[in-house]
Amino acid sequence: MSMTLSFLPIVIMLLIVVIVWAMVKSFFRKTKTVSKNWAKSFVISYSVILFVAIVVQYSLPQSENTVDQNYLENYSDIEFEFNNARNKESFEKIDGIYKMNSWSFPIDGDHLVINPSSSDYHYFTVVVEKKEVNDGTIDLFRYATKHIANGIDYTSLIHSQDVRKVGDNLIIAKPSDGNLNMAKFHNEFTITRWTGEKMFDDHRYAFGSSRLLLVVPPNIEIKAQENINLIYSEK
Amino acid sequence: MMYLTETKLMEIAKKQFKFKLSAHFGIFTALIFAQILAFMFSLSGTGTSGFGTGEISINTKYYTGNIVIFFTMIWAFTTGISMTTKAFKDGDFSFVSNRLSSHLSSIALLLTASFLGGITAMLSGSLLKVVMYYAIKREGIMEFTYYLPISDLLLGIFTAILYVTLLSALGYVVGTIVQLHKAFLLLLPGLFFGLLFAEARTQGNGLLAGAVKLFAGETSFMLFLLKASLVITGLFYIAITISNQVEVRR
Repeated sequence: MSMTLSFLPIVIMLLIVVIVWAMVKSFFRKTKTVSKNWAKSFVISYSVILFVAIVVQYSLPQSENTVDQNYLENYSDIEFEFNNARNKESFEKIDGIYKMNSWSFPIDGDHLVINPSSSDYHYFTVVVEKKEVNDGTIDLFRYATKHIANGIDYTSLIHSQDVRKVGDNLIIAKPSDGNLNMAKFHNEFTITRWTGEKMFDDHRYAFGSSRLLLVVPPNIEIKAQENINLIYSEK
Repeated sequence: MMYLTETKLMEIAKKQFKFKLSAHFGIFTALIFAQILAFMFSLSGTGTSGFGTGEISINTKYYTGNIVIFFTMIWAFTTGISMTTKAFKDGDFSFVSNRLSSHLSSIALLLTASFLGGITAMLSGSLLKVVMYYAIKREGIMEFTYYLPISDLLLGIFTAILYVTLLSALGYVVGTIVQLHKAFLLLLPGLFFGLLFAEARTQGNGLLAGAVKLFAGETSFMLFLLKASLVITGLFYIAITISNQVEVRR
């Protein structure tokens, strides 16, 4: 099977050669029968289309959706800072951070149990910050660093967790997987062989991460299942 | 000093070239059809990559005009072969000419065709990007924008012209060898596949890979230009020499 498959590119190449060969042969013969004016008009029209295409190509936007290169260069430092953020203030001062979602729920008890949805296994981290005063509400924020692929910031496409409060339970469901289809224009090999440009450019990726920050009144005790990593704010 | 015979040779070759250009204009139509075919294949992308981060799966489709250039090179090769056929050479009888003027006019036509082929192949890549840009926008797929400095485009066009001309010159030699004896019609493809197998055995250190590396491995454009020009000239010289042998034998 693998032996047969290894011949496949050669067979395809031969087929292409045969098709193009047949084309050349047929047009050699047809020159006398096909109107020369038609052929000339055809070649001129094609050339005009190509010329217009090159003009349009240079009028297309050049930097739409692209991410600042400085961010990509400092990406690991930003991620380090993000992973060590322990309260709202430290999250929000991080360069290029996104506050993706926020939820507020009233609370009247003295404890809160964080549960993932019963239907899936979901490991995640929650940073817990205590408020100065008891205002009777818990606030949950979801922060994210930039998620970048091929130089495009796709953070807004990351699905959010579904968060509900049922009694003393805060249920955080695993977000559904997002799907991103991208297109990348790449220069022809007659250019890239001189410029060294690679089709799969590893330097334009930053996978990013997201984190939940739970801000609760000072008297609330937090409990969580073992697959939830709780990090308490350092005061 | 230019002699009268040389002037006459060049004049005849020029007239033959004009005649051939007009009589075989179909090669340009074939070029366009080959490029349109390649363009169609390129619309679905020339490569894909995908990965998942746990939050999202990302699929990237790559668009490039490489297939168009590849098809243009095949067109150049087959056109080179076609120019050595009897049907093509029949037109030479309309003129008081000799073998050299016939070759010179055919080579001039081949160079003209390769020049046009190289330019249109590269510009087709631009057309592909423009078409896909608007198609992608309509489908709501995020696009990675792209910028090509004009200097790089020109470099790409010159390189494409050289590749296409190399293939056309190779086709011209192959066609001439086949005219030497029809047995070469089987022997040459046999030799090509033999070399391919030799490549597999030598793990890419054979003659064929060496020939490819001679051009593909060159990092200086000027050296590439020099190598390509020398090889193209050499190939045409070989074709003319072989052709003389054929005519003498006949």
